[in-house]
Amino acid sequence: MTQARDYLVVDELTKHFGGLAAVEKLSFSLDRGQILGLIGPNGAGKTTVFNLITGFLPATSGRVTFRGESLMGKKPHQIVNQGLARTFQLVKPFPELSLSDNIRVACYGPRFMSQGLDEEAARHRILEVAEQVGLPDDLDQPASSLGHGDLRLLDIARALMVQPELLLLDEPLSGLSSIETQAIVGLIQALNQEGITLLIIEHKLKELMKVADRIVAIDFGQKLAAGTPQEVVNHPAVVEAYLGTKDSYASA
Amino acid sequence: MLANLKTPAQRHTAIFYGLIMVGFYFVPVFSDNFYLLSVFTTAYFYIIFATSWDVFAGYSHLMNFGHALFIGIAGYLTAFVDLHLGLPPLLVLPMCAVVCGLLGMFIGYLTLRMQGPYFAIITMAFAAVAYESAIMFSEYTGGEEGIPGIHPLTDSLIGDYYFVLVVMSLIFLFLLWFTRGRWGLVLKAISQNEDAVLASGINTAWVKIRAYSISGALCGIGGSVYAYSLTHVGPTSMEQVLSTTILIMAMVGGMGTITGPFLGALILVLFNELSRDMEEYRLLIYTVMVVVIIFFAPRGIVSWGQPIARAFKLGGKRGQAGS
Repeated sequence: MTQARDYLVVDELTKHFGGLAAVEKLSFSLDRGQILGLIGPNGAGKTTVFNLITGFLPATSGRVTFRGESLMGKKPHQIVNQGLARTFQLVKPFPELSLSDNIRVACYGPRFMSQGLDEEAARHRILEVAEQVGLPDDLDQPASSLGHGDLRLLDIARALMVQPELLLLDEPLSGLSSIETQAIVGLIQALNQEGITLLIIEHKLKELMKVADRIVAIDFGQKLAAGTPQEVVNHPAVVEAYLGTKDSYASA
Repeated sequence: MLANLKTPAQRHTAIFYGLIMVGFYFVPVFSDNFYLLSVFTTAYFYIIFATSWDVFAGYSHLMNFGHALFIGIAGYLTAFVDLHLGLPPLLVLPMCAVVCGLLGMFIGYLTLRMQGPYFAIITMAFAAVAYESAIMFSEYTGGEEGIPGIHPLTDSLIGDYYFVLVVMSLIFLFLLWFTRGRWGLVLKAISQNEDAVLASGINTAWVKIRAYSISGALCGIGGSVYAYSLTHVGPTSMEQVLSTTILIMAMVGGMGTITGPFLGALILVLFNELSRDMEEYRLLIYTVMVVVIIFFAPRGIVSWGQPIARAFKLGGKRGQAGS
C-alpha cells in the first residue's frame, strides 16, 4: 500500500544559476489524493520548482522524494515512468501532428507500453482521454489549427495518457476565457476524484482556491507561507509579496 | 503495411511509388544500354544515401552534414574484406551495416547534447577527419588514389543493376515501415518539441541515437554496394560535396518523409545526366532549379502531391498526410 502522507516531499530544495538563487531551501510536502497549489509573483521560482521535481533541471542541493523514492539525479522520462507527469507554462503541442498523434506519442513510453496494450487498445484510450478533457471531435486535424484553450487541453490529454498518479499542472488556466477556465477547473476536480494527486501552479487565485486543499506561497525561491487557501491568502507576507496591499486585493 | 493505408491520399501515394518501383525492374527489359543502366544505378545509390540520411536528419531536424562518412567507411571496409579475406558480398554487406551502425551510435552518443549548427559542424568534422585520414594513411588506404580492384558484384551489368535495385528496394521499404510506425511519429514529435516528448516518458536521447545508428547502418550497406559497383574506393567517397549533395536531394524532395528524398535523388540524378549537353550551363541550371524548388516548395516536391491529387480529383483532403 502506497503511503498516503508525504506522497511527494520537497526537502530544502535549492537551485542556483550562477550567483542567482532561483530556489532556496524550499520545503513542502503533498499527501496522496490532495490538490496542492503553488503560488507566487512572477519570477518567484515556481516553474523552476516544477523543473527540479520533474528532472528538467538538476538541483544544486536538497532532495525530492515521491512515494519514498528519491527523484534526484533521475532523467525526466524516468520520473514520468514513476507515475509523475506534467504540463508546461507555455503549451507544447506538436503542431504538425494530428490531435490523436499528439496524444499517441505518450503511448510509446515504457509506462504505457509495459501494459502490453495493442494499437486498438491505444486508439480506444486516446478517444477516452480526448473525450474526458473535452477536445474537439475531429482528432485528425493538426494541432496547429487549435486555439489556445484547446492546446491547454491537448497538453493535459497527453499527460493523462501516461496514467499519472501525480500530475503537475503549470498555469493550466493562463490565457483562458471564463468558460474555458470553468471547464478546466471541472476537469481538475474530476481528475482528483479519480484518485490523481495534483500540484498546480496558478495565478488565478479564486479558481485555485476552489480546488486546492492546501497552498504553498513562495517568493524569491523561498517559502512565504503554507496552509489552507484561506490561511495563505490572508497571510501578511503573501499579501504584501504577491497580492500587493491588502486593500488592493479587497478591491479586486 | 497496406492495412495502414487508411486514406485515399495514402493509397494513391503507395500506388505512385509502387508503379515507379515496378518500372525500375522493367528498365533492362526495354533497354540494355550501358549508359542508361548506369544512370539508373547511380540514382538508386543516391536514393539509398538520401533516404538513409532522412531517417535521422530529416525526421529529427538535426542536420547531418557528414553522411558521406558512412559511405567511405563502408567502402574501405568492403575493399579490405574483399581483397584480404575474400568474403562474399552477402557477408560483407551486413558487416558494413553493423560497423556503420555502431559508428552512428558512437557519434550519436557524443553529439547527444548538441543542437542546430553545433551538431551540423561536428558531423562535418567527423567526415573531414575520415577524409584526411584516408589521404594521410596511404599505406593502408591507397592515399588519394584509393584502393582499386574490388571484385564486382556480379558478372554482368544487368546483374549489378538488379543487385543494386533489390538492395535499394529493401532499404526503401524498411524505411517506410520504420518511419510510418511509432519511431517515425516519435522522431517527428522530437523535432517539433523535445521537452513534450520527454514529458511523455520517452527517452529522446536513445530514440535519436537509435535513428542515427539505423541511418548509418543503411548508408553503410549503400556505401559497400557502391564500392563493389565501382570496383574502387577512394577518399572522394567521403568528401564534403557528396554529403552536401545528399542533403540537397533530401531537401528538394521533402525532408522527414522518406518518399521525398527518394524523389529528390531520382529527379536530380536524372536531371544531372539529361542536361550533360548543356555543358558549362549545366551547373548553373542545376543550382537555379534547386533554389527555385526550395523557394516554391520549402517542404519539398512531395508537398505538391496533394494539390496535384486534388486537381485530378483523386481524393485526399487539405492537411492530410499524403507523403
